[in-house]
Amino acid sequence: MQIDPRIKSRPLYDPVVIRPKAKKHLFIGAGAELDALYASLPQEQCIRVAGGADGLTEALRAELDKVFETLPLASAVYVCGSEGFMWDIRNLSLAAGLADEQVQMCEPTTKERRLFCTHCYEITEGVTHSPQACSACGRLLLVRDHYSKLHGAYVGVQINAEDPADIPETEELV
Amino acid sequence: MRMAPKPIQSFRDDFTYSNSPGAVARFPFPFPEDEYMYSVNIEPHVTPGPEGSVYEHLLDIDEHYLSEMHERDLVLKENPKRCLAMPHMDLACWDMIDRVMHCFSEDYPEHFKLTKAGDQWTWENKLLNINDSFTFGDSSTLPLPPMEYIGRQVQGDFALLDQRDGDLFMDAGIVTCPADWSLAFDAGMGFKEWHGPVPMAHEMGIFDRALKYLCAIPLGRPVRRLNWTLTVNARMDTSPETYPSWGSDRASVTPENVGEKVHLRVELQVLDRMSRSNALMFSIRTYLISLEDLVTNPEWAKRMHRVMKGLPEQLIEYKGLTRFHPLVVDWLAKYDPAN
Repeated sequence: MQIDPRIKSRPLYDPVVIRPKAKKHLFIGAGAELDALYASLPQEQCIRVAGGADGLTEALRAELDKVFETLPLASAVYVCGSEGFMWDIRNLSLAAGLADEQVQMCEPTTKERRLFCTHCYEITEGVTHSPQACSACGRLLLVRDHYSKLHGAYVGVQINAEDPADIPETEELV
Repeated sequence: MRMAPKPIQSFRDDFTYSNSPGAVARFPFPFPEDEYMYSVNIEPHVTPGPEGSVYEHLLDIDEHYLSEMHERDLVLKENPKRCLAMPHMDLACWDMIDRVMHCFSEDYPEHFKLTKAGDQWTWENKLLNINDSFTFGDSSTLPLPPMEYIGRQVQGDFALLDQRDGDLFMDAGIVTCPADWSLAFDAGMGFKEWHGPVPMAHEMGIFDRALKYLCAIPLGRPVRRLNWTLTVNARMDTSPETYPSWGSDRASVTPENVGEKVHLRVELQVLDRMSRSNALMFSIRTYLISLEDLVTNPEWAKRMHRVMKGLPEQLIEYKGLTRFHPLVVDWLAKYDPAN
């Protein structure tokens, strides 16, 4: 039996393909993969919404709310950006009435992770190493691969709760 | 109920929790063989089961009822988010209220009484001095949101799993005594996602088969399985949320205190189809027994030693036993004639 060490809740990102039957194609975010997809379609079938560098801001959310109101039922959404941002867009799309399979995500543009502190429930953005101090409660967190699509985040658990002196060396996340 | 509820004991701080000889005798010892490995160990939960056993009724109530309800109150006061229900789960929550109230009032009539006149229901829980009248299905007529209302009256953790697209989603629950998983983080996950961190079982096809089995559970045909781990001290709330306050327990085990401190923690998991919402009610009823009490049964003592001795390294690590597992094996050895 081959043991696969990958945690099964961690998403995999397959190459994005254009949904040919969609009446409207909504492109959100920025990135080379997204640019190429956008360029492959006639302009009149497409809507392009930039942003994502600062995450899902209030301004972007307001803009997208307006766009979603005008989208025909048979639409496709393509999103590119950080992993957390893409899942925020996916969750926003679902809330707007789209189905999971109508939203496609590119390969995340960065290895930075969003981290959910399982002790105080607060979020730390841009995490690249483990362990990482929680930005809210300050506890030193082991960054696990267990992933929540709802939070768009990995789970963090205090690394030295059993023995305060037992702190492993910092490792870069992949 | 043959097990009369005892006065409140604690699952924290001074840990006054204890099992009576009757509670020890009915403890659901989880190992059918000398070796433990994962299996799809799901079987029909046919009730009534053997009289006085934990399998007699759909949901078991025992001598720890008041203690566990008190502990649940402490956890929820510290962190109300240990209970949640997504808006689309309202109907499933009412399904659960229906199922629990009917079962409790029929199975334990000395403690619970349900009176119905159309959709006007009156519920009496004599153990907790509750007597409420409400309109069935109208959450505004309950003193608490429906999941919390009924969750505060049942022993064990509960989740309501929404079934769609051939998957089961963790969309509601009250989880105050988990074996190291967080409802707040796992909320909304599918079956294989929330089992993501479990080692080996994915490759063994356990979750593929289990998910198919569970999605096919019909109404009125609940199923059950046992799961287990070891817990240091009689601590119910071994959640990731509170891990900073109990993690050091794992470093507190010594050869002298193993028998008293280390507890076998067994979950009796029952899955039951809900009639209106088609959700699955997932009840995770936790039983704790100290090794000292466990070895009063010579068969259990011998088998416990063999299972612990042969436990795969990955499971020791996953279950968080690394720091004290060797002490457990050494302490149990004297109860195994093969040694």
